[in-house]
Amino acid sequence: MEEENRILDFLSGKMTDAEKQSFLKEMEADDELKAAVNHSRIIRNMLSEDRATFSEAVMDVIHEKRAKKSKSVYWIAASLSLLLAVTIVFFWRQPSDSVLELADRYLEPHKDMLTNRADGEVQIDLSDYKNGDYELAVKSLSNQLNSQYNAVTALYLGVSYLLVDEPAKANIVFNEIDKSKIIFSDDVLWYQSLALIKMNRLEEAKSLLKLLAEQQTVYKEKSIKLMELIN
Amino acid sequence: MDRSIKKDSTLSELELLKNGDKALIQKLYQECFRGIAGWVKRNSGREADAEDVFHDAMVTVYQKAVDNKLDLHCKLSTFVFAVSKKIWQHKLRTKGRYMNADFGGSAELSSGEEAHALQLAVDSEIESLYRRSFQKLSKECQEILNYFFNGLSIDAIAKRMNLASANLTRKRKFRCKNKLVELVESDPQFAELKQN
Repeated sequence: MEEENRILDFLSGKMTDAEKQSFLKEMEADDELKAAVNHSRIIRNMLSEDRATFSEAVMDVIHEKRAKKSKSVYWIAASLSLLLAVTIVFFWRQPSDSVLELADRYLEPHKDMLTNRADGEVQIDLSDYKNGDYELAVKSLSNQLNSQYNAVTALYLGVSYLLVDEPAKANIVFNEIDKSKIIFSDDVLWYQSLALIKMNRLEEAKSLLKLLAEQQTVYKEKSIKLMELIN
Repeated sequence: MDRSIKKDSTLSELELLKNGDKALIQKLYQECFRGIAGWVKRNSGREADAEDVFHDAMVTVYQKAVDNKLDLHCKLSTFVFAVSKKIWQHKLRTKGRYMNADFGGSAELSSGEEAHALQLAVDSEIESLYRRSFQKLSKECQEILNYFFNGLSIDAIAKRMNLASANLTRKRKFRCKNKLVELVESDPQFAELKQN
């Protein structure tokens, strides 16, 4: 019988007890046979169909679990996106119609308290503003402001911007006014808060309205009403 | 826990393992994989490495169970975990990569089981070496060896592969096995693994 077949019989348990004992004795005495058995054992195990089936089953489980994990990651990502969206909606609230309506209702041209008179050394031309042509007023007041900066001119320019529905530009103009150096500081705060409401920046608007509500100003009641609606 | 009860439950798990029971494989994955992945990642590895290590450990433990050479007093999952660690430890050593964690033994394993786990890791590495060498053989050689070691007679192999005679088939089988052994023994890793 060929040696390799004997080795296979030994490895697959096909030998009788007597044959097995005899083979083991042979192995003890023959290192080459021992090495050959060892090689054959490893090759046989490696090529075993049963083992290949088991190996595939393990791979299947690994792949299933990996796929499940990917799905979990997908759901976690989806949940987080949803949570993020809800958070954004919560914090970046659109102003409700009633806040906007009230802000629009409250938006009136600042009274012409200057009537083309000099403010200090600066002569302010409010003719377009007085005529209710706010687009021309924007141009005229911008030109005047460019030639020489004046906080009162800036206040009227800001209000004009608001009246032509350009709240962002109005806000920039109001921001540049040094409120500590102008007698109309309450007016600036009021119009700036209206600009911020129109820009959906409600929290910032609220902080300005709060200042007005805490003082005895003509804007006190209106500020409180707007704050209540924002809350 | 009572040791005999523990052993009984392990014995029944070994029977399931021998039969390739998928539910048991899933259970072992559930119990071991997270620990293996964490451990491999802490030691220069990735998730995919952990999957390979778990797979190799499972197959090696299965083989020992089929050969009736597995005598465990610890939980099967503990043993699979220990073998996985030893396999990764070996791979790291071979690749000369950084090891971070303590490679000391598990408190749940007896010293005999610890040594057994180490031996299985070495077996797994040796088999990887044989597999690599096998892939270098010609397709015909791979086919002949596959048939032969799965119990097909020389006559049946000759017929299936349309070879001229049983004698020629026997000679080819002989040459193919020798070629494989030669490839294995010429691999630098072989001497290193033999020392273990």
